[in-house]
Amino acid sequence: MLAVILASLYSCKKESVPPPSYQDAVYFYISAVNRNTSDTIAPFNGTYSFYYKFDSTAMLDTFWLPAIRIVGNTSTQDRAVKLVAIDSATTAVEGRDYTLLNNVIPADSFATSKAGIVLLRSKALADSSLRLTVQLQPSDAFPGPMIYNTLIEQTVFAGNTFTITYTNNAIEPPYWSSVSSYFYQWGRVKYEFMAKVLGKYLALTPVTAEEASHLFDYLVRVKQAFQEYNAANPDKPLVEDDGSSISF
Amino acid sequence: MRSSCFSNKNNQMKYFFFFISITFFAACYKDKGNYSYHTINDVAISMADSFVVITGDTLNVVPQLQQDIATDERRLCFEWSVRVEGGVANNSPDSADLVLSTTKELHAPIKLFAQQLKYALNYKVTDTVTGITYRKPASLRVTNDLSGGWMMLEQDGSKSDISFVNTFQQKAFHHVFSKANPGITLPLNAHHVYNFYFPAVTVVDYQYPRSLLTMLLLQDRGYVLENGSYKIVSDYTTLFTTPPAVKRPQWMSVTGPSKTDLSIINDGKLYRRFYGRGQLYFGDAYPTTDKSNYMLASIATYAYAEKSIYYDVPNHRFLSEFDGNIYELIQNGYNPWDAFDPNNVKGDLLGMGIGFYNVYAVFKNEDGASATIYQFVQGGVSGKTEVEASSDISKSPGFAFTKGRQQMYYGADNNVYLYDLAAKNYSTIYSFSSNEKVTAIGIEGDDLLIVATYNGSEGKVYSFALENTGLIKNSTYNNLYTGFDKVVNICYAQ
Repeated sequence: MLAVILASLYSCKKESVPPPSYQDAVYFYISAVNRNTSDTIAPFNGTYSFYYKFDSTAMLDTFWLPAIRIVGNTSTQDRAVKLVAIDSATTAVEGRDYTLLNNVIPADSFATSKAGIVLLRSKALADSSLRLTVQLQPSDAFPGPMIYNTLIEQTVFAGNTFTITYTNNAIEPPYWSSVSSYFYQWGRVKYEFMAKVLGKYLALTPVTAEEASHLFDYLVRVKQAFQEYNAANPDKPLVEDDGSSISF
Repeated sequence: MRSSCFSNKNNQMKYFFFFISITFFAACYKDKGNYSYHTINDVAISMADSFVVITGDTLNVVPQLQQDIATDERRLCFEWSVRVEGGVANNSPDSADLVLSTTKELHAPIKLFAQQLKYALNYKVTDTVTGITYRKPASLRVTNDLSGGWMMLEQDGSKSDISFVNTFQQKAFHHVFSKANPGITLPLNAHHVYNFYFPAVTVVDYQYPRSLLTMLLLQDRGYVLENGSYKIVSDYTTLFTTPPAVKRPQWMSVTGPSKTDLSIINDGKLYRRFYGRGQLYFGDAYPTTDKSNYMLASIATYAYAEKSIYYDVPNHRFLSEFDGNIYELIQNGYNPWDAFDPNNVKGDLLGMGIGFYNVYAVFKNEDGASATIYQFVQGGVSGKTEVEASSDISKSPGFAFTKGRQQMYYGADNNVYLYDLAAKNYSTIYSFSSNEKVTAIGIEGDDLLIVATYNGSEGKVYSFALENTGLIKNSTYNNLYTGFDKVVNICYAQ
């Protein structure tokens, strides 16, 4: 009987809660909403072109990375994130072609408000492109293990590595996939023609829901102009730089 | 030994009950802790649940706050925000909250895009003493002058134009087409204006965002118009993969089980854009399953699923469609032709519509005065009603059907009629002055009837709120818009 009572009283013993089994860490956070979740590579790759600055004197620009979020609790102090270039996957040279910003997780925050890299329009860029692969690595503030690029529960792309390819040339704009269901494959001549008709370059910035609702109007407007152009220039139809045909 | 055993057991039981009693009585111990209790200051927020504002205008909201205890509102802080939807296509950003104001009352200019979907408006009140936040959600419809209302195709005797009735502002905007397209004169053969809404669809990995399409059809051409401005975007043939040989657009409608597709009758042939399958343009004209020729009337109706009904004029027959083909209605056990033979219907088709799962086709009979209403359900015939000449039904310039009731509205001369399709009788529900003739009729949902009249010099547009019985509320109109030409076609625009 006494043993039962003692056993029952044992449950009153204050239990010491073990510390969390994880260490603070950081990772790139990319929402998978409205993305193709079967492609786990594209979300961790970005492109940039100085061409779309439309200013030959512009010598630098900031490329904004996906948000960086934390594993663990917030802190009362700003905490620096360790972001380094991976030499084996990088053709750009630090200081000449890019500068890493001092990205931090602000006090009382779960994520960076903005994390970026300054891309420099160096002579090395010329007519080619440069690649810069950056990686989040453990640091004093965030010693925990890193998350490899992956899709989590079909809702979030999380990872530690991001690759930027940048150039001086006209390339597929960063948000072309937002309009590709209407305009299909990107091409330089096609894109310039669209810009001339529409009076703006599509998909250089995120396509809002409101703009997306006008895409079909844009399409038939461009199609009409394209038909008129080809009718007026039967011997010189609009084609891409490599001679491939264009259609809308 | 036996006694000793009993004695030991008794002692154990005494100790046990003593211990248990002490434990129980511990619950009676008066807690002398030094606590300070107080009631939490709850804040109740009262304001409307929905608001409408014209883009660029100031939205004024004065909420009523009621605090349980405190009356000093200096301890409260406020935030008004609107949820701005992110893009719906790939690579679009997440939604974000746009803070409009941090004052108790909202008096802020709204620069959001006018759109058909409502924005989520959120009001937050935080008690800085308790740290508790109270919220009041509401919806915000942002409109502009030329969206959210009725498009009126009108004629002034020598040309056509489009005017617009904004139902939120309860205001008419006249001649919006000619103002938006200076130098272009619309001839009198313009016959239909349309505004279609397509929900977002996903096809494999591609997302097609929700969109609107505004169309203007003339006898020998058509235009895609810019939503909300009525500027010409392109010729209607841009909607085709291969433009039709003859340009004669007659009729258009959304179609498909989820209303994602679009149909057009052009030069008597039916075309369909399977947008729900990611098809951007109309394909080739539908053939009949038996390869027979057909020439569709300019009047048809969308019906549920694939059961739309069309009338083949030279062959005096009704046709339906299925997955790329158009075919004669089939008689079987489920669809006997007891009511009528759909392959032998003569007369002039005046109107078609869908009411309470039935498709109705109104024909003027060969006597030129009486009418016959043919009825279909699920692509099969289901009834036939002869309507006497006194109903004036054959004089009506248009028909409006209610989806939730078996009723049909029409107009003739200066009267508006309600025809009960179940009871098969009609009644006059409103009469204008004798010189005002009904020229067009439309319906929004099942509860707002729009009727256009013309007196020879001026067109007027009346809106009538409808009772659940189908009759006019308070027996009169609730809005009147004036200064139109002769309105010949009405369509609601998102």
